[in-house]
Amino acid sequence: MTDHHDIRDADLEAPATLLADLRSLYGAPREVPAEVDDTIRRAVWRHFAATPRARIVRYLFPLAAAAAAAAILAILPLSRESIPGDIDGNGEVDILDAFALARRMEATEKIEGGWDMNADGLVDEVDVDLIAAVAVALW
Amino acid sequence: MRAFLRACAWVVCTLLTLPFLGPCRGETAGPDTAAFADSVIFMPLHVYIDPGGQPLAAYQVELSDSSASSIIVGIEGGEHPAFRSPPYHDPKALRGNRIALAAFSTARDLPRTRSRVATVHLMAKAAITPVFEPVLSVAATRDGTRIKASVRCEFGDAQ
Repeated sequence: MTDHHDIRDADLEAPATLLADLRSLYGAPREVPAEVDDTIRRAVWRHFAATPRARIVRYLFPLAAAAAAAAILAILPLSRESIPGDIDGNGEVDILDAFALARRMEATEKIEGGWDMNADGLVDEVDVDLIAAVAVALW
Repeated sequence: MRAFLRACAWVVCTLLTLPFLGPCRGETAGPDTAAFADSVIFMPLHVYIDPGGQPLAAYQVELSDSSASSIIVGIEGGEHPAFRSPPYHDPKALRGNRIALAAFSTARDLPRTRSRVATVHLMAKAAITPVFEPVLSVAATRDGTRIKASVRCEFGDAQ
């Protein structure tokens, strides 16, 4: 059986005269000077920086990124306390949540309005009791 | 004759319906207290926590009777002044055999060694000893730091 691949590879060998002619026509590739590269780059930047789209990318994109980051930071605390009574934000309500609120009340620390469990406008011992009741509730 | 047959049909229908007039199936009303009526005893179940030298300021314990031979009828506080009041519990647990107990104290004086934190009063079948295996969900010190503590239940004198 004949090996066709070997035959084709042998056919691809260009004649030496053809190669010499091609070299004489085009010569060796020349290098572009670095100054020319810089000049072209600056010209391109000036051209595209003047368009409205480029201004949006240049100025509005960082602003949008900052706004998105601020929104994420603002939402995070809310998601941590998504369970009513989960004062310490560990994802479950236990006696430590009631205890944490009681300690803050005792220390007269600033207490967040979100911990007003019975929505009576006050964060007091009733709210502590309600959190404790949730902690021991049999579902 | 027709009236007599109609009356008989009513009687038969009524008799056939009677067995289905009992309690609703699937209800979870807890243990049947009537089953305890024959010979019952009352016994206290003391709950002890050993915080291992750390000041115990808060705890949460879950108890359940795996033998289902008792009913919880009362809750009492512990021996240390910090936990003398009855702990938080779900009122629904009374007349059942499963309960979660929890308490905290903001007092300065807290138990550091093994201490009875609560007592659960049980009504149990005289012939069967209830089997309670307590699970300590959480124990913490005064600043809310979780600590490793051990919990143990012991039956008191039955009456």
